[in-house]
Amino acid sequence: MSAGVKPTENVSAMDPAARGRVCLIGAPNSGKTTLFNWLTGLNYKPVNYPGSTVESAEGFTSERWGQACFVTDAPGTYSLFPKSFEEGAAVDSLFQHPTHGPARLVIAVADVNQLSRHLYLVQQLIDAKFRVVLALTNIDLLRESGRDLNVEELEKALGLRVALINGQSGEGVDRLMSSVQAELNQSFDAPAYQRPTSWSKEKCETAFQDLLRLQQRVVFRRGAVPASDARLRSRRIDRVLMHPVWGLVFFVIFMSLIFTSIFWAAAPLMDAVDSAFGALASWAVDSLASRPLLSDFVGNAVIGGLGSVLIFLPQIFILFLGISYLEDSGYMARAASLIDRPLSKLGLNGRSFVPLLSGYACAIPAMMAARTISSKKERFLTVFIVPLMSCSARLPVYALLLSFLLVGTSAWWGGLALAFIYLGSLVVGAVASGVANKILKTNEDSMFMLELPVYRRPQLRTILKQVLSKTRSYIVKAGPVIFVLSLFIWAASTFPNYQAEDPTDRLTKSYAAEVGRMIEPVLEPMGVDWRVGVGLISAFAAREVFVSTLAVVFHITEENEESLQASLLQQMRQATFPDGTAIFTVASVVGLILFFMIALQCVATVGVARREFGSWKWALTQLVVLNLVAYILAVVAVQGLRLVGIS
Amino acid sequence: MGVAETLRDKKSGFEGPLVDFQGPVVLQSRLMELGFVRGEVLRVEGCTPFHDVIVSVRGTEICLRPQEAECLLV
Repeated sequence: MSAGVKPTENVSAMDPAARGRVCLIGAPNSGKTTLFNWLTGLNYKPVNYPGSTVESAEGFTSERWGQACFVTDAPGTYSLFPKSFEEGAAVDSLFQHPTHGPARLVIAVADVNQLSRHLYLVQQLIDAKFRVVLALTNIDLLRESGRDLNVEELEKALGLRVALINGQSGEGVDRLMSSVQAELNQSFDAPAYQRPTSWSKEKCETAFQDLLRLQQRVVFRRGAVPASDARLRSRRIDRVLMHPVWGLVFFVIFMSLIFTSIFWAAAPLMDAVDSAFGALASWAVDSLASRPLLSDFVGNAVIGGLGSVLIFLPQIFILFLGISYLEDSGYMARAASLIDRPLSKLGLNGRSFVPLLSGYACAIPAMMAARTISSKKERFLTVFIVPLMSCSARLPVYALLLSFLLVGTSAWWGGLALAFIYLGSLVVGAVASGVANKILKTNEDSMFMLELPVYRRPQLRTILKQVLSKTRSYIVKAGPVIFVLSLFIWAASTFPNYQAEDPTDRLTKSYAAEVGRMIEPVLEPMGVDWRVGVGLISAFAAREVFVSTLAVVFHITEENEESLQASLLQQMRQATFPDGTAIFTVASVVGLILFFMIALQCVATVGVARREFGSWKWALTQLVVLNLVAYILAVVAVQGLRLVGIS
Repeated sequence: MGVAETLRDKKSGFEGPLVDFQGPVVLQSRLMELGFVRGEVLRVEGCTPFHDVIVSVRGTEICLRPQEAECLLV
């Protein structure tokens, strides 16, 4: 079981998984993930539920608390009656986990400051006959507000063991684990869980009233009412951040900070990765100079391919860092609330905001982030338009094309044009969603109802873990596809005429060139030739491969003393059709930019989309629609510009 | 309809008990799970720039769409 993660050696011979699975469950914002981090430390791995892409994590508890226990984390849920895909997966993980079966023991996580509300789920767990240990989080906030909790009284009332947890310091995790160990050491009969049918309105009411009475009994005041506590602080912050005017101003400021960080923080790192791989490639080419084909393969295909995967890591990492920081601080819930209305007009949801924002890093984790949306249609539309957000792979393409258009102007123009493209992708996404919203009719009731958690200082550990898991989904899902396709593109542009001395000769007689010439009639209206066609096809590996392929087809390989881009730009200026007219003109480059803004050219994304949509039908529809629209708009732009005299 | 008004019509600062529900059953059931049960005192904390309503129930703030606030009769 779970090969990569082994509980540390020799303490006990018994497989911790054989003791049964401990399932962590709780409402969203109950502090579940933080607790999971305390329990497992680094001894965990993110997993997908088989058959779906709901992300979860599983791991083993540290042996400092006795024999290791096998723990799974699940998405947040308010009740055992799921209302979204993600909640469904959480409930399934209790009753019948797709790989691990029913849970042996449940750690129910509840925020002690919202005791009566969060115990509602606990009540349902008890009714369903689960063996439950209760972890009450945020005890530090309760004490800060001059109150405390009578643990013995609560344990007696509920008939289960209770631990008070401070997620910031880890206090209370010891006690929780000794309860867990005690429960696991008890004899265990085959579970007879009773999956409940829905609760009546009356039953709900009685439960909530009872729980409120219970809360009043166990939570007591200790000392004076403090001048301020987390809730009051949050309210004061919200007077500004949720203000009708200032709220929007700060929203724009925060988002601008996140986006500009792509440039001031990520760009230097991306340059570093770029030049490191460039150096590595030329070293490989030099040291294998005696065998030209091999040196070309290692230098340009293997090292180049790896480089094109890794160059985006800084940008993806930094964008997700910003997003996770805002999520953990509590601001993201506010941001989602602020723009829920405008988004709902387009058939989306406030909860679409994080997926769309993530789409600017990489569409793959972004699509998966849409799973918190309960309405099928809103989730569908979100996944549909995520690829329209300008993901990091488009950046090198825009950088190249914009520097062609804006040659000799100040860097400010480039930045402005890029900002325009980024905003433009939002507008295109909005239009696409609005149109699709008109076409798709459902009578389903969509929901927003978002809890606004109190503001808290985010914990670095928790954030880093989330960022790493999202970055990982890019590397794991997109990496291999990009790498293999770039090897393939290299082969297609090298063979069959690989022995030719002159690289141009080699390429013009390659398979890639043949395919490019085949599709040339389609490309003609876009104002480009077969060589750009080869670039566009190769961009299906990953968009940025367009740049490196152009470099190959226009022969920027050996003599690149200066940057690749400078020599490529020079080649692009000189490139002509057989009749001598220039290929790269203002019109054709604008057309290419438009094409890249809209086209879905990422095989890895299509694979993830299929799972998120739940069918090939919609994944392929998305693929065809986005590419067709991209092509048509590019053609219209090129021909339109020519019509008004801009070639 | 009747004497009861919906939470949607209430201004910031309003405080009063939840009398009953109306509207789609799914919304009602999720609202109940969040702690909106009859007799519970609700308080309108404010609204977002685009008129979603921020309500506090049992000490927790929850942002509701207008059509969700409309399900709550106060």
